[in-house]
Amino acid sequence: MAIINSVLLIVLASQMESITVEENVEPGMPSYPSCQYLYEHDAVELVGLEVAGCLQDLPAVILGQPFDPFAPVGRTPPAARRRGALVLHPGSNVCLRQLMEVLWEEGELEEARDTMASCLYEYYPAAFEAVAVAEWSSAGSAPVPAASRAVLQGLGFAVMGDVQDILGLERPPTPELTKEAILGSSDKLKKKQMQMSTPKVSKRPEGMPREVFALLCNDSKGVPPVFPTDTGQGYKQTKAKLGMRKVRPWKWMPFTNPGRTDGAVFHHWRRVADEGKEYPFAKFNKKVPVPSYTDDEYNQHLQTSGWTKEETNHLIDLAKRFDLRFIVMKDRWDREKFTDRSVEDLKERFYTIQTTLIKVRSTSPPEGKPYIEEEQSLVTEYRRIEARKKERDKKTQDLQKLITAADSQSESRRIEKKLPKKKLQQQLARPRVDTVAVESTGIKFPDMKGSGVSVRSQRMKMPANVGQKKIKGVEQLLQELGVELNPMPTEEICTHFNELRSDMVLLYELKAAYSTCEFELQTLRHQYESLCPGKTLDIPVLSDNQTVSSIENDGGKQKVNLAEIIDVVGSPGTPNSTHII
Amino acid sequence: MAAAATVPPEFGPDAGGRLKGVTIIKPIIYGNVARHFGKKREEDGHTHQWTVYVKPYLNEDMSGYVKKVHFKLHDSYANPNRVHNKPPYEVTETGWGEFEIVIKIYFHDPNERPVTLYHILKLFHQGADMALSKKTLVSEFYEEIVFQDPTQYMQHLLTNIQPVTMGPYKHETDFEEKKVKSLQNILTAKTKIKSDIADVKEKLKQAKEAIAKYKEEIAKAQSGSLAESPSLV
Repeated sequence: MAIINSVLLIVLASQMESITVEENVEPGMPSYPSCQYLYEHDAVELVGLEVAGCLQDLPAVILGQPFDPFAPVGRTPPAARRRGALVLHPGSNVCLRQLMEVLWEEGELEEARDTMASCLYEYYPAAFEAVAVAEWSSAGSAPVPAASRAVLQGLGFAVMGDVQDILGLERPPTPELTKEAILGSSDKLKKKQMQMSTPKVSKRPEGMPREVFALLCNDSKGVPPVFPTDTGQGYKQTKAKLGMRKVRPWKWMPFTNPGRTDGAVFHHWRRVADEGKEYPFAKFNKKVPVPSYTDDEYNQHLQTSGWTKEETNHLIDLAKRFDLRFIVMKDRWDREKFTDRSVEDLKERFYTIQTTLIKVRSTSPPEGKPYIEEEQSLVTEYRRIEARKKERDKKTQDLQKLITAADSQSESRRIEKKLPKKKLQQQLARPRVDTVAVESTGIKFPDMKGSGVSVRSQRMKMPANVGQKKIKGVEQLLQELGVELNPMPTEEICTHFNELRSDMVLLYELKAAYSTCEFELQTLRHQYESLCPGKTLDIPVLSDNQTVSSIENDGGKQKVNLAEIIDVVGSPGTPNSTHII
Repeated sequence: MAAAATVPPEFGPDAGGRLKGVTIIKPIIYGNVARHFGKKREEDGHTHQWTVYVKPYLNEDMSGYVKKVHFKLHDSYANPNRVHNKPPYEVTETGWGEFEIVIKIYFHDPNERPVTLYHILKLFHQGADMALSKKTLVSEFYEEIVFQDPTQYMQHLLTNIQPVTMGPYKHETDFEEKKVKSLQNILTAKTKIKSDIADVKEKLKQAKEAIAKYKEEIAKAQSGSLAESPSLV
């Protein structure tokens, strides 16, 4: 017993940031042989007051006689401490049961007390110590301080709450008991300690230089402790607070498992709050969907060599019964009626049936037909649109060809008129030139009139403003007619060669213009026919041999001409002059 | 001859005066000859020896009016810019490939700008002639340098020219024959094209008339249909 006391006191001492101050021992205090550390009286009281502040308003609880904490305390502190220990009990079930034993049976008291003391210290060491110290400190000077009384009261109430819960009695809601509620915040405690200690150390010893003293301690921290101290929790970590809630009642009640098909009724313990709810394990009753088929479906899609319908039915039946556990299914396979099958055989047949059924049922849903029809109509519509678009594109392209042909003709004329001499001279660079139109159209070769030296062949160069298409056309014509592309540049040859080429371009342009006229004529003819259906116009029209013929008769020929004209530039080897001769 | 030696001051480079309406023509020949080694040369892979040249068409000494001729060879040659101040204006080299040679002819009068000729160096016979590759290949062209309104100095130089040789002066190619043939071809072609033009013109005219007629008839038909009394049967 003495050992317990001394241990407790030592622990307490370390928690309170104790300082050995022999002088502070009150002369009237009883001395304990194992207690070397004494506490300032007011420090103990402060702790007590804080606890009291939390528990002040709680109604007094009267415990059983033998453990009445308010009974006059004897002069032997260990006894008082033990009594306190029994009262100060946390919510632990084990300890609570022990407390109940103590309270109502009063048997084996000594053992129970010892157990309780150790348990208690585990849970509420500081509070326990506070009470113990308060009792102890008051031992010398009666009466017991109000603070310690309140502590005992409050803690006793907490215990009573648990008892009431267990007995199923109603009790008013209580604020949860926490360590802070009992002890006050540890911060406050520290502050108090600081206040206690600082006045002593802030005094500078005589003869010590101020600087040295400042190194030792400063205003905010005070003197460093002589030996290491733990702040806060002390040796122990805070334990979980168990059993602080109200106990929920349980009831013996009947239930049915929805997973069962027989509707059997069993009984079990269940919380009253859960009464009427579904059996929680029913949801784990999962079933594998096994396909089924009609006779029609079987005959159409599922027939296969090596499997009869009866055998297949048996397979599906087993699959349903054993949830696709193929090993079991093979074991239960009816070997008397059917041939023995391997697990792989069963699996293959089963999954073939499943996939076939899925395919068959998905491809021919009842609403499938209208979709297909709609899609087909859309496809045909799309094709029609595409075809129309192509036709339109072709038409515009043809038109564009003719327009460009006409444009190039008129453009060359325009250039002839508009291009100022100066500009042309710049274009043709060194040999200063004047432009002389050979005819209404054609090539305007630079006529080197400017003074200076030049090479004659320079005058036979195609001017830059002649298009590539025309140049190509001219070159081809020259080849057809057996003329060199670069003849000897004598003056005579140069002149004639240039005139020849200019004529060629003119011919080309005339043909282009002619083809445009052809086209216009065609259009007009169609227009006329649509205006006056059934009638034809007898107009003497262009023809090579000057025969007067109707447009209808001439149509074919015109087309030939048109083709030849277009060929002037395009395909080599076409004797474009044949129809002229 | 004395005038040629002592140039009057007004003929000097700074004289500047041009003789309006005067045109002097100097025909020249330019081109190259090439000969195959018969094998590929080991050290540099060359296969041909060739000579590119500029020479007068007539028996006249070009150095009378030409100051220098500048041949610009392919950059892969050691010094591609070959300049000759006196005849013969030619560069002989070896090589394995054909390329364009730029020939610039400078005149004694700096007021006359140099003329430029472009010659594609030819080494290989065409198609069927491959068998005759041992034969020397000639690729030369006729050209005329036209001096339009020459300076007095230039005119002086151009009109006082020495012959190159006292013997006959001939070229590999018979340009006189070629000249006649080319001209004939061109004239034939010209006549043909002229007739073609006339033909197409005639057709165009007819087509235009037809268009006009159609337009007229359509206009009539339109107004007729509006009035609901067709004028045409």
